[in-house]
Amino acid sequence: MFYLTLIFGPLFLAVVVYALFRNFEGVVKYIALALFAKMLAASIELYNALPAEGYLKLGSFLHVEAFNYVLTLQVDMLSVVMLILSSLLLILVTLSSWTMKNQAAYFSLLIMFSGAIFGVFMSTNLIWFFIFWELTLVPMFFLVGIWGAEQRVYAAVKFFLYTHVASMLILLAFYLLYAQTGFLDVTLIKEAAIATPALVWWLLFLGFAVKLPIFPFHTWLPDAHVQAPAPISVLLAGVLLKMGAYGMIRFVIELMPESSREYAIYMLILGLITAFFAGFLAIYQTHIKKMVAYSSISHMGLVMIAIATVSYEGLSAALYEMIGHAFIISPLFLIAGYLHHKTGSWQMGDMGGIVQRAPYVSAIFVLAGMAALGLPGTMGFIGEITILISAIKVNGAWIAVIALASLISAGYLIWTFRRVIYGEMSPVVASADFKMHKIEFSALVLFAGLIVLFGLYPQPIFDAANQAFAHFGGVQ
Amino acid sequence: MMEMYLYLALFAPLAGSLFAALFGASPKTLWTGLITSGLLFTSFVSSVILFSYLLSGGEVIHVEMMTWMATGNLYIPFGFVVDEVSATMMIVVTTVSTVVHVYAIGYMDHDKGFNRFFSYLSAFVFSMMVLVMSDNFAGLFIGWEGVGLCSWLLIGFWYHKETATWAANEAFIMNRIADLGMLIGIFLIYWNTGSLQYDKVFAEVPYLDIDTVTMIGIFLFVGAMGKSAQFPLHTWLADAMEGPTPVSALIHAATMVTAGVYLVIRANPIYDLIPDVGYMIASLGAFVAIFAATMALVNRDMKRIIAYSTLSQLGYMFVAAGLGAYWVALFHLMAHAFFKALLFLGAGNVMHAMDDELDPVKMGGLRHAMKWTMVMMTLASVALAGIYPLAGFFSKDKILEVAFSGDHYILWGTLWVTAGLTAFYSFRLIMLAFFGEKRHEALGFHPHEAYKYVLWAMSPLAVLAVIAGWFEHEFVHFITHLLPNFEFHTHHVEMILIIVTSMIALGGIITAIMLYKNGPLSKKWEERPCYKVLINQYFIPQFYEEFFTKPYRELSRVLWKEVDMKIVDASVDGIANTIYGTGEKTRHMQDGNLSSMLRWMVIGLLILLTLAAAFSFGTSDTVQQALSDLGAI
Repeated sequence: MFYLTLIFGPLFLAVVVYALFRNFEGVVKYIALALFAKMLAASIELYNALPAEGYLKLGSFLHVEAFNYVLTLQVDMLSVVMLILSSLLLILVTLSSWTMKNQAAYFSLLIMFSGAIFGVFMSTNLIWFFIFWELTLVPMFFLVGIWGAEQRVYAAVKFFLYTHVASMLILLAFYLLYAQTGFLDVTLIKEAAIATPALVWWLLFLGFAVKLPIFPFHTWLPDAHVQAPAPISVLLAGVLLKMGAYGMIRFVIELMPESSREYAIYMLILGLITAFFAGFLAIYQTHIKKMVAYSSISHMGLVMIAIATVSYEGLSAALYEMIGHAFIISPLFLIAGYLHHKTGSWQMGDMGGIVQRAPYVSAIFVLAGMAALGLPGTMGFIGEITILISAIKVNGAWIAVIALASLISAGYLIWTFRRVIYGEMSPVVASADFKMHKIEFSALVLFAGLIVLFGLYPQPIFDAANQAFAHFGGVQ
Repeated sequence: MMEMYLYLALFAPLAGSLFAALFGASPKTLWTGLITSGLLFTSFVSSVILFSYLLSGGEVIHVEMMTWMATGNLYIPFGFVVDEVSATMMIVVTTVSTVVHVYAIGYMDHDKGFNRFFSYLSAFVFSMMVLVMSDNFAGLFIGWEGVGLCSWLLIGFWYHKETATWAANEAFIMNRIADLGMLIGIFLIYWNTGSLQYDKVFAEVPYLDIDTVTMIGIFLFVGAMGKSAQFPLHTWLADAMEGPTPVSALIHAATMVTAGVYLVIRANPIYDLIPDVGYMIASLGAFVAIFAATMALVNRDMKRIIAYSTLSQLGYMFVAAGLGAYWVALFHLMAHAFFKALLFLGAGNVMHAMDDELDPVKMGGLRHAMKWTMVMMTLASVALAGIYPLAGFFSKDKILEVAFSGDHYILWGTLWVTAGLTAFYSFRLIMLAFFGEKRHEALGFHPHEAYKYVLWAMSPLAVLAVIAGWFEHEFVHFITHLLPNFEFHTHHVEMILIIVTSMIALGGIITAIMLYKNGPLSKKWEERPCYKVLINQYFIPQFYEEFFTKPYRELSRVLWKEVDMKIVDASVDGIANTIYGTGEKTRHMQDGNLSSMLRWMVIGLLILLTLAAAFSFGTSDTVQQALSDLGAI
């Protein structure tokens, strides 16, 4: 029953908090922080309680006899890792939103999101999974649409429509799976081991590909990222995109390894195009947040490539890169938002010489950027190198062209440093006040610490990955 | 016990770097300089202890620190090794870097970024130690990228200078391109041998088919070309002189740029199997030697002249390494590190004296004000020119012998001519800067000698530049425990070769003295086309700008503006607009009011869920039939 409250508790709490504390705004962020800390603790507890292999059953609720409509909560290592990542990011997002406007509503929506996201990662019943999946969109939509920048409504609607259409594909695929097997629980469907038709595979792949996002379904992301407030960009990149990757691994690869191997080449090509295309686009951006957004897409292309290997190493690399991407892209988004907030401009041309005004923030920006371009000692390097090794193993040496993608990221990040961080101090920078709230800064420091910690000592994540994919049948 | 020294040698610089980083953004505190230097000295002492332990016949020290990555069949432990090669490299790295640290306390005295500088510099030494001490290619690559990062930070140290940040980025990107090749080489190794540990890889390599080994050898060398600035990736090294001079001395002369040579030496079991690739490396090396030397002949920037000289000497090292004389390459690497670092530090003194003026034509007669700097720089130049009995004589002469011994007369001839050019441009610089009239007086400079302790700090390098060559036989004996010995077939002509080489070096020196004893040459010389070609570095930077940088930017622009905005995004918007057009009647739903949109969404979701439920109740035959017609089930 406790685990049920992890999902519905926040949903309920969100309403209560908003109703009660609308007039005591200062309190809400503490409530949110306490809740997310509790959720992190619960996730870690789950991590420790997991059996060596397979799922840990947490209970079944809300049973409707007529059709397999039951909220089954069970977790395996993959979902627990996602739970830990999500709750950790929620804490960091809360810290970085410390001085956000209109806090009661903002944090209520965050709390609501936390419940929904836990639902996504904990339920194995397709219908409930889908409900939570869609439910995450609601707070996201409002967080972008209300707290965003100038074109926030356009971006919010575009984001919503894109992902919603994608969800319809997923729903249709779920229905087809149910129609064929009579089960709605993903573990049962897997046990039924049916030969799934091509249509189901494609529906699920495309549905999750939009979320990931994969070329050519990526255009919602730059808009959403740019318009969203910086902490919400973190949530988008760190959690929402990861839902796509999670879905891809859980439903496409785990459920249909045979078809996945058959269509691996399409996944691979789309992943490659995404990585390169977004990388090239990032070079040409003058808008700092758009540059980060394309960089983010480029890295998710790498995740797609890793998944496309349909192999044990590849999935481990994908999981590592998913986590790495969350920790690396987040500070970049936060700092981009911070620079805009302080200078009033999005244009990198207006900046320059930031390091002279804000040396510590600049150092973190450079560290995260270096991680994004795959510098050894950071998470970016391990992610890239393991993806490359796994991809080469499956597809042969020609795949080493992926390494070119890291070269491209070297290009745009290094020039960004030159334009924004170094160089002559621009008048805008000279006149701006670069004070940053201590708590918001602490979030940046935590991100930087995580990047280096798991960059130097990646084994804990690989241990988790090994356990997560050990019970994936059909994966080499 | 020895393991402790290993860890001490490795991690002392890191500790220093972290300590200095704590004060990175604060105003100068002398302590950061002193403590980082002290820790480096510790590292130096540990390296000496390890070296002498090996020298006295101790076992190779091998430690495995931790399992770095293990997933599926991928297993990469993280370990370090101190054998003859890495011990030699450790000595070179820690000696030069300790000197440079102490020197920099004086040199960076008035700089705002004093603390930051020491943090970066020690971080560099740490990365370099990782590079040379790793027992596997993964660790090597980490150090490799680490030194690249520190080099980037240090070239662009004066970040308010546009040229400095530009040069830093150029160096970084050029190295990234090369590192890509190296990474592919490492993957090929892993893919074919299943390991990245040196000993396992080298044990496995002879059993691979020769094409694979060739590929590995070429790709690894591409990485070496970037770090050691070999043609065509050489342009970054001269531009890297934008960094502070101690950086040029440490990174862009003595240590980092020799990492490529180190890689070839370390991978000698691979290159031994593929002499053709080795010959290619040697040819490229000989070409770079003369190519860089010609550019040094005319340059009017003191540091760039020395940088081209470095490039040229790296070419020499690659000739030796490529022809299989690995120990000779290592020997020259070591000797070169000492005298070239000394030369750079001397140039740093001159720069300080001349308020950062670098053009030797504007100097002249500095010997009066800067006697000791003049002595040390001349010493280093003599060593560089290869005059008996200084360090350069022994090591460079051996390389020429290697070329001659393998009947590679073209290589030998090229290197022989280059030896003359080397002597010439070295003494052109010395003559222009230290002798002749005091041209600087008219320009209003007031040169002064460097601080005493700065000169003292440089003195160990001066001593080493003189004596490093005297231990050739001991070195050969020591290093050939690990590296293959090289069979010289030149005993009958050895003396003749030495005399011929020494003659051209002396000739170069004398020519330079005669030509420049009265100051610079007349301006008429600068009108000549061959001068134009040389001063413009053979127009290669312009070529890169025109044929790589610009098209690259254009491609990015087209992809974004034309493909992403006009095709991908527009087609999606187009679909949306079509739907929008047909749904004109439901327009009031999308009135932009968020709460009403939310309401519609909830209703829609409910309807869909109901439909889904209804469908699952009535999986009627007709629906089934319709779906199976579609090929869905």
